[in-house]
Amino acid sequence: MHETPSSLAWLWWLLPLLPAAAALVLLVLPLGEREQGLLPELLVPWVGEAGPVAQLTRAVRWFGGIGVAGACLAGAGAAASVALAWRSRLRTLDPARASGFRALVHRRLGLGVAAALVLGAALLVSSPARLLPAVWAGLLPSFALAAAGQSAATVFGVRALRRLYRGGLS
Amino acid sequence: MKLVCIGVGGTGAACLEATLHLAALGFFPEGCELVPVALDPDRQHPRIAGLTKFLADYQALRAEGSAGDLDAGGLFGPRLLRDPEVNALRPAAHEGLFSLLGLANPGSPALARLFFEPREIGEPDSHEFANGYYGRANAGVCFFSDPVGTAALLDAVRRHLLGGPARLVIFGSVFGGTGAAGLLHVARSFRRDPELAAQPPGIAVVQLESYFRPDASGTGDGEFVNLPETFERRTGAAYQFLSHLTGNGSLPFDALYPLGVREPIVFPPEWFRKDQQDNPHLFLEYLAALAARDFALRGAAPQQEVRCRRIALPPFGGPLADLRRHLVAAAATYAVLQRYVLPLLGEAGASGRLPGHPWIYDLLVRSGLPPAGLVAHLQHGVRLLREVLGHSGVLEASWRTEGRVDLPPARLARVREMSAKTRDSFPAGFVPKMEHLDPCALVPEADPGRLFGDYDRTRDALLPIRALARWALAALRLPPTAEDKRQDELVDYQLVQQEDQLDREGRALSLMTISDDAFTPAPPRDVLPRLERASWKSPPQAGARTPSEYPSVWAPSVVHREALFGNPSEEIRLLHLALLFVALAPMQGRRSVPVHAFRLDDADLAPAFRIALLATCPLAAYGSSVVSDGSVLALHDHQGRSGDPPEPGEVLAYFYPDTVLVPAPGLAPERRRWLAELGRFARDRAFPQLLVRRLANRWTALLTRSQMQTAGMVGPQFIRFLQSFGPAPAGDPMTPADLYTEFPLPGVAPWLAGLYQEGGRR
Repeated sequence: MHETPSSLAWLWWLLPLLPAAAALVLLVLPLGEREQGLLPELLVPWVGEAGPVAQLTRAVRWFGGIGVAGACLAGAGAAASVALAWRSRLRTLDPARASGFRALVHRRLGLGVAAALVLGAALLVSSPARLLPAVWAGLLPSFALAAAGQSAATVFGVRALRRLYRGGLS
Repeated sequence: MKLVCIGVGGTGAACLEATLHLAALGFFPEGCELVPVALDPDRQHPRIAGLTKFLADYQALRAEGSAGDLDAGGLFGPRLLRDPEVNALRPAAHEGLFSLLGLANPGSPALARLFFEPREIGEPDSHEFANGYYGRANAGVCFFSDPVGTAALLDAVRRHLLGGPARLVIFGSVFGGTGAAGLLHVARSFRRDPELAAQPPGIAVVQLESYFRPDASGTGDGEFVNLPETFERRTGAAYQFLSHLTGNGSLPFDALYPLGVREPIVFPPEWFRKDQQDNPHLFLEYLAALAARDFALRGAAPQQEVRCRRIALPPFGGPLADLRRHLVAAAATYAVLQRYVLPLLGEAGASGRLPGHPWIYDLLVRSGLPPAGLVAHLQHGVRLLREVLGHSGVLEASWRTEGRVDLPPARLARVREMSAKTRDSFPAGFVPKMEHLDPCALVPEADPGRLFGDYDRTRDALLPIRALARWALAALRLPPTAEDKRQDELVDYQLVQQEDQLDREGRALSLMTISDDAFTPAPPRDVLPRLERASWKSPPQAGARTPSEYPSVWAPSVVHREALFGNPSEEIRLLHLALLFVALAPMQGRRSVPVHAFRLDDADLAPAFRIALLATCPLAAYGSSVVSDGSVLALHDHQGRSGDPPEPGEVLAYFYPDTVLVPAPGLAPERRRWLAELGRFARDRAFPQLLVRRLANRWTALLTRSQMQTAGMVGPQFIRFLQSFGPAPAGDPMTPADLYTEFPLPGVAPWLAGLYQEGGRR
């Protein structure tokens, strides 16, 4: 495996921020005074300030943003739980228990995705009727992707976890 | 600082081995280089073979780790000198007294008969002392006097004692033969070495009292090399001799560390046989190492000291806690290596990367070692730790038989019992048992993600195991030990003798007050006479002490003095009176005292014999003025031409100030009978009363003028012996005219000249 040049190693820290940045885009940036956000207004500027499309767009932004943010938190939590669980296993000084770090990461990543989907389901239940199933069919995979992405980005972005995953850094 | 450690005999080698093991763990002060020397006629002794193998393994580990010059604290950090020319030496090249004493030379056999029984002397080319001086301290000291052996020892060690701060520690037992014979003599050899006079090293003697014995099941089969029933008695003899030296100002060391136990560990009787002496390590040998460390740490003391300690009871404090901490940390390190580190390294493979265990890769990068090299290094470290922990009873018995198949059941049973004995000898809870050891409980706060975390190539060379040991030591939490009630109880000394054992005179020992787990100093004159007076167990059938119990050629003098001034039998009283009569009263037409001066500078006298006579005399000034300048004066009944040396069978006694005369141990039975008759004759002629009149008022003064430091004690004792014959019997008493009027040889000591002078004449 190739090593990152030391002068660029700081870039790894950006990795965990990307999913959060995506959530920010969805949730925060569109909340301007005149609802001059990014998505979906940038893509469809003709929606105007009122009307059913605007309401739908606002609802998608809110539920999508909250869902992605929650998924990111679940993903980051999954990564953090990897660190805690591994530390606990190491303390047993038992090689049988202190093996399979990557498998542990993958399992916890799955848990993070599952947690994100549970969160999405909860949002779906509490969402207004105008958010059609088709919308949720698009949102739920986004939550899963965000959780998985955040989890992986945290594992690879945080140096200690990246070191554990790769079995050492130069 | 260099710490030269000399182990004399089997027990000395065991103490030396324990010292090396603890030094390897980093138990000694940083910067302390150990120079181990095992001194024993049997260089194949299991303890010597064990320590030389350990040294070789230790050196190999350091060499493989490019750490040959490393001199640091911590695990495997100290330098332990490995030099075959130094590590295992023999006291003498000879293996029999006959050849050692040069008894093929004219005159020597007669001189030897003054000090040894004929059966002790052996025959030309006999090898009765090839494997040790079992229970024969007086003979053993002659071997230690061999100038070839002494020169080899001094040459080997001297360069380590010169050129920098250095100390010398001598280990040995006083209840066997080799240690009992050599401990003091080795110390004396260094103290008197002229090349060390400008920079005399501090010398400590660590002497182990009887601390193991056979069980009572089989002590009568006659196969023992040294009668175990006499172990405690011999320990008493050692204190008697030391006390004697204290009185004479002849102690050849700065510090004495006596170590013993109230109840010896019991071994199966067969372990005491000549070819079976592979005894397990016992706790006391680790305390001997503790003594060596104490001496290394102790500042220069202006006075000689005896440093005693109390027994080890929980909670362990002071240096005892340090000892425990190092052993437990080594156990934790071993367990982590064996159960965790090495299996993970096996999983890491050639890349050295194992997800979840980045320390492996980091360690390989920082050390530059290939994965296989790191594994080999750690396995080597495990082997050394196994040796240390196995001998100290942390590991089960199986460590002795690993990799060996088809061992006979008897051997397996023995190794199991050896480990059990070692474990029994340690205080309860002092060290863990590996089979029950949970490393997580020992290092609960340690971060397993930081194994080898502070490895530093400049500090550790290529010995990463040192970093692991630091990791364990830093996080070590010692298992709790039961609190005892020592505050309310009298705690035993780490000695055979205790305060609740009355001495021979019915008094309490009153040795010293020891308030902690450190060694406590006291002046030798306060301790050694009390230990001498103690009640040392002796077999019921045993009689008076024998010369074999004292490390001196002159041992018959000490034995005879004790017998004569103690509670002597009538036979001894009459024998001694007869000898005095031969020395003082003309008989068989003689015109002068039948005395022959064996010159110690005689070219025919073997150097070892000469040195043994000069060096081992308990009297500080024997060779110069106490008796006669450079001679041993023998009383004889040689009937030939005056001046001719007597035949071996004709020597009767030698002159010695304590008792005037000491009977030759080799006196034939018929000659003893004749002397007994002569004693009765002298008694009936009021010979003792005549001597009392002649000497009573001036004998002590004569001894004092002869530089006898114990004149105040032995002078009155001799007069009391003469007075014990009571008033003069009726009959024809002897008069001064019936005695010789002068000693025929010039240059003798005042007491000897005064013996032949009437009272009032000087």
